[in-house]
Amino acid sequence: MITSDTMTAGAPAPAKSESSVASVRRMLKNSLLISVRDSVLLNLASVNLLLQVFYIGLFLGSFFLYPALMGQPCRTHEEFNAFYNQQEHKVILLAVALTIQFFGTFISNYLLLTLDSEIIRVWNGQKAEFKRGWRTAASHFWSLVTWSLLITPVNIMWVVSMCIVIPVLTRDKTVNPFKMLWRSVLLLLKIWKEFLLGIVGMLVIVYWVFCLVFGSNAIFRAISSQCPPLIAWILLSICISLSLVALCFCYLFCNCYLCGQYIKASEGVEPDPEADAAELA
Amino acid sequence: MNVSELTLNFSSGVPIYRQIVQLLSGKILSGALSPGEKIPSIRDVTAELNVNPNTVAKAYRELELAGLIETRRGMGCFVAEHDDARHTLTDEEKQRHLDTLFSSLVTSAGMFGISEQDVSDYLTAKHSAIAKNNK
Repeated sequence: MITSDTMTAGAPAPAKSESSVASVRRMLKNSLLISVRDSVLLNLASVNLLLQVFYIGLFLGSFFLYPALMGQPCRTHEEFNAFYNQQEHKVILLAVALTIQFFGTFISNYLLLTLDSEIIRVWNGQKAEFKRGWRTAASHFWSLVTWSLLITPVNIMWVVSMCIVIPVLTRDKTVNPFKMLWRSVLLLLKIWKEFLLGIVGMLVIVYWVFCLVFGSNAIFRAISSQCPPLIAWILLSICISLSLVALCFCYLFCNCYLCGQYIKASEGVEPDPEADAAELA
Repeated sequence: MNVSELTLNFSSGVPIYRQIVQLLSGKILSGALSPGEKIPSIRDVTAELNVNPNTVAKAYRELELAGLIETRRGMGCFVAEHDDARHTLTDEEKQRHLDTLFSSLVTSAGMFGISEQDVSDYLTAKHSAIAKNNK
């Protein structure tokens, strides 16, 4: 006979919990593995980052070009100050800035969702496909619009977006941005320890990658200063390319880790990219 | 059984492996899946529902431990060939199922701001109502 008294007694003893550090280390290692495994993911991350750079350029460009378009070109800080202190220009600038900010946020969220949905596929043992990721993001169009509208006025929210909301959106089609945020927070609470430890781990890895890139850049520059101009230019372009690849790689790696943690929180099991479905059966 | 019959809710807050266990055990215990019937392979579930193979494997392991399914090497997973899986469950296994059901109920209720005490009171009230109806 089952009674409420015997419920706990009969329940299986919980498995001895593994330390969070060991779990984070394994997840970081697997994230690195995923980052280098599929070239489609690196291409997606590169497009994502390039578009973000373009959007920042557009944002700053509109600020600098607007006076010239209005027939009052400004060169100094004082001239810009005087121009933007006029009420009519202030309002127009704010409207233009918010519009660019909204479209920039929307596009970066859209591409991030494309990337994250494919990262989750790779975690699940499948191959990444740009078209499929794009279609997944398109099916979340309105969720992305409402979420982008909410975070447009607050710049720092893109961090929240990247870290916790977009991975959740890959499988959740809610249009209410507050519900999205709430569900993301609930999931984050399940893995907060691993999440924080992982952020530290990611920062350490990103730091070492950049040390390597900047170190090699310094060596390249030292060599190029004693070379003919043509070779110096080639070396310089190699340095820039290396830095860009490192930047894209770090961006991809961080997203792989965040998606891995999302899978763990939502599915209740740590994902393993090496797990073979056929063998498990 | 088709994978499409497994409907997972990614926004419920209940871990996916637990949802798979509940869905399949519900179908087996209610008789919707008959003994010896093949259940979808881990590979099919993984590909169709976009979940991790480890998650499906863990759910199937739990079902196997509960005696509800059995794995035949090279053939896949099948509903256990007992006359009725319900009768083969030991008290301990039944307790484990109840435990899983109760904790998922509490988790789901928590998502709507319903406390554990409220769930418990509701169950007691429901039980009294059913007992009264049966008299």
